[in-house]
Amino acid sequence: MSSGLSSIGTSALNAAYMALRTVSNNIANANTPGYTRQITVLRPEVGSFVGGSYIGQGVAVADVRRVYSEFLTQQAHQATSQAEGAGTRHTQLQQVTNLFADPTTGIGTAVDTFFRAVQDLTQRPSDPAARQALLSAARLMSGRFNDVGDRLQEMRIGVDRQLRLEIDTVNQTTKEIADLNTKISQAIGAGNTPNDLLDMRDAAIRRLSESVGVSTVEQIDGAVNVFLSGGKPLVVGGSANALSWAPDPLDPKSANVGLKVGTRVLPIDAAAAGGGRIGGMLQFREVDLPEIENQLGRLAASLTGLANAQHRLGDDRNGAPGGDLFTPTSGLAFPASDNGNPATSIAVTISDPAKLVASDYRVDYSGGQYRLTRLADGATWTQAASTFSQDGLTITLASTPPADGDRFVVQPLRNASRDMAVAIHDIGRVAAAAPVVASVPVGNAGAVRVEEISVTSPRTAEATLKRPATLTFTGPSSYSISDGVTTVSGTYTEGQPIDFNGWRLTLRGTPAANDTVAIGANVGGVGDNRNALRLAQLGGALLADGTPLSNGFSVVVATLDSKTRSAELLSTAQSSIRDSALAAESEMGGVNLDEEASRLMQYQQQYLAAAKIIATAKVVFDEILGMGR
Amino acid sequence: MARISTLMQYRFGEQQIAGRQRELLSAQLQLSSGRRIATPSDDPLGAADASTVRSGLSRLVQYKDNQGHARFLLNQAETVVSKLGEAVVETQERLVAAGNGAYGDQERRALARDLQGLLDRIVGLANSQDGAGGYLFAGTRDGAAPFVQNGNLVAFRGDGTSQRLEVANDRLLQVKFSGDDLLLKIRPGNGSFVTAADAGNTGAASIDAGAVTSPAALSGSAYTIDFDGASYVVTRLADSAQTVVAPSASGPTTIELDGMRVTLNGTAAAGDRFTIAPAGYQSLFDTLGQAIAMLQTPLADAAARARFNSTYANVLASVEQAADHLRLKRAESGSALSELDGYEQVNEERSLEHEARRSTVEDLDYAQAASELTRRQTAFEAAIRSYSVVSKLSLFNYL
Repeated sequence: MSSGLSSIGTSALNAAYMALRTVSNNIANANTPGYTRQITVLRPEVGSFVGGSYIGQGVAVADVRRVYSEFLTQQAHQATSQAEGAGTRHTQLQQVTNLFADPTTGIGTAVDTFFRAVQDLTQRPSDPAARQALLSAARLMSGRFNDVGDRLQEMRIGVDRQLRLEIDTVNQTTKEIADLNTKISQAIGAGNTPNDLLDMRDAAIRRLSESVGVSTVEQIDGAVNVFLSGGKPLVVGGSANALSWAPDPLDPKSANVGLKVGTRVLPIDAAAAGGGRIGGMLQFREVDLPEIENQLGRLAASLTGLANAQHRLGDDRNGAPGGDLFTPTSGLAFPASDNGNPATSIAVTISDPAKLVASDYRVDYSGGQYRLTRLADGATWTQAASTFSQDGLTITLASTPPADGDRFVVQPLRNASRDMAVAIHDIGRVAAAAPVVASVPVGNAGAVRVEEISVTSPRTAEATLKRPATLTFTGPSSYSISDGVTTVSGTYTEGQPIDFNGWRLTLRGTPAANDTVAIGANVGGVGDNRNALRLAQLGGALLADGTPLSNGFSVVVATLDSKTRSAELLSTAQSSIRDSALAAESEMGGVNLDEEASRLMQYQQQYLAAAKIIATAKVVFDEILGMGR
Repeated sequence: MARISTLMQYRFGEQQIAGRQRELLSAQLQLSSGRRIATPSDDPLGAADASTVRSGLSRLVQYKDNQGHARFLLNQAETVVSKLGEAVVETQERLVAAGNGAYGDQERRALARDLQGLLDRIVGLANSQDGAGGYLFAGTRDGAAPFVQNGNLVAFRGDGTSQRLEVANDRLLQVKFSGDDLLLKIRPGNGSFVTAADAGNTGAASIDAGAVTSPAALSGSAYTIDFDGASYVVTRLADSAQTVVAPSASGPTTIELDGMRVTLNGTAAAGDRFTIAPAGYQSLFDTLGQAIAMLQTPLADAAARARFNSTYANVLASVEQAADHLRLKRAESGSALSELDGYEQVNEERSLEHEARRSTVEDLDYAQAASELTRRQTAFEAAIRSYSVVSKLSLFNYL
């Protein structure tokens, strides 16, 4: 009989002791990250039928289990990925914004200074100081463009470095998860619930979710398969697939993230990564950074192109044609490294700087047709010819035809900012003057006068352009021009330009018959500022989207800043969501010390009461034994 | 929420403290830098706006500079042109004096020397420098003095291209006049045609400078007027049409034809010829040279006197044309200067607007920022205090 009491007391003592141990474990791990609180599940022992009724047999520990919600945990994984991804992208964008930030030392000021130096030149075209100041301002401006372009390139290299480190981290973590999967399957197979291993695996998956977006699927044997949010497998049972860093076939200068599944390497882009730091960095590197580089490059290329076009129309101090003021930028174009026909090459030049669009392009060849895609907005053009003339660019393929499915990459503006340089070092080569002059001789009877004579673009050969020509009025509204080689006639309308030999003449006033206008080379015109005036007015030239050139930098800055601001808002929102998800997770499985303290009391009391049962059992036994004496 | 874990409790408190601290420091950064926008992403539209406004301001500053330079050049031009005008007026005075019938060859030669001095002075003025290393009236060939004098002959080595500056958006103002336009392209005679007496005339008749009665009727042709002993035969050279005019019985003979009126004074001799030609252009220097040569010629007889009278009438008219021309040029530079006034004023106003806009966007409102700082300070203190109060509460304190 007392053995019954004894055994009940012992079971109670054991149960209370187990419960106290669990509570103590919780208290000890109150601040351990990733620890899920455990509770002791007690159940009554099955009663035995004695003397007409069921008598209880005590208490047993059914289980020590984690207070765990798979749903809340998964939700927290996803929220973590999104928050890390958005945060990483925002940090990178913030760095770029700071690069463009300072108004007094930035590109905007340098562009303004350049145009002011040109205006100063219009005041004093023959002054060596004004010419030198122009070259200095041009060098300052291109230096700023170079700086920013170089720093953007450095950022790209930095992001690549960080990506490689993240890949190593991910690979270590996935191996850990695979190992834990094996151990956990074994333990569950043996009938146990390995709580600590389960916590460790959850913590590893949480760490993984900071690097990439993950989704998990629990298997029957207790293993958890982990996939990238985009669907590709990272951990399957006890084996892990590794991320790799592989050269990008579409851009030999850069490498990209890949996933090794079996013998194949699957490319991982931002969408495939699905979030996490890797996702955020990939998005920055694949979408944001090229967009910024192209916008900046477009400004640099437009400035360079337009300035060069105008400078070529002028004459320098020695009467020679102006030539280029800035070194013309050469766009990048190359075939993909996995093309079927490696002999086909591609080249790109900028033919009309005013029409440039800030975008990269791709050319695909299939079924005898070339398709040009503008990557910024997806617009396409398909044709059978192998030369494209689009958006101010001329794209030519040589050694055609390529193999079916071949691809080519065109990046016309990526390097424009880094490559900007002044081509002139001698102040005498600055072309402030116009190459031709027109004059009205003293003998004219009528009142015609020259309003303007300029040069049309592209500049005609010197011999023709500067050949002396005479315009003779055959009547008050008709004229004929002759330069000894060609003669043309036309009708005279006041103010309407007359084109001949590459120059454009505008006359005003009413002529008399036999009046003439003489056109010839500008000899000795050191005070001529006509080309400088045109250069100065370039600030108002419009780019393809209608922005004036002098405001070009503001547009680049505005786009960047908006992007950064929305990235910041996204990051804040995602962080907030993550905090809620973590709080919900913790609400269920986090340790509350006050709760544990009260449980401590509760089980301590049970222990003391159980001890009392055993003491009572001993007294009863002693009593029975005493009865026999 | 149903329950909150200890970990979350502390974490939440930390986050709040970190957040309030961040805000407090951001307010402090604003106040210490004086800038409303610390990094552009604080206010992207504002930052872009500020960048545009700065560009605009830079352009306005440049226009102001150009306007100043334009004013500098135009002022100088106006001064010189008015001095040229004075010199021409003095020339006119000398010429009027030369018409005095009582003057003899000696007096006229003295006047010719005066005119020579005036010619030298005019050449000097025409070669004025522009104070910036070039010449005012050389066009674009301003590396050397534009007018070259050789005795009484003056040649122009500049060109007719004018120099312009951008003084407002897309507005190019001419800031220099060409010497060509100023001193070479002057209409001689009465502005439409010149008259002359043949050097071989033997009679005592002289022709005046003539006048235009009807500009629409002008033919543009040259004419000859021959006296055949009885009447004047006027031949229009363009189509050889002839008109015969009888000399008046007493007093001057007036010929009106094709919108022109010329008057012949005195008695002509048979075979005398007078010519009328379209005006063309004659430089002021050539006109002066003509006047000097005229005054240096001794007048021996009535025929010489008559020839003198014809030349005199034309030279006087030519000089009057020159004076008018210079007055017109002076008015042009005057109106360019007043146009410049308008641009300067608009520029001033726009600069102020831009500066105000820039300040609104970029500069900090100190009053608002200071009160914001106080508010955030309070919030931070509240976060710290409440954290320390809550973190002291625990059941273990009572066990």
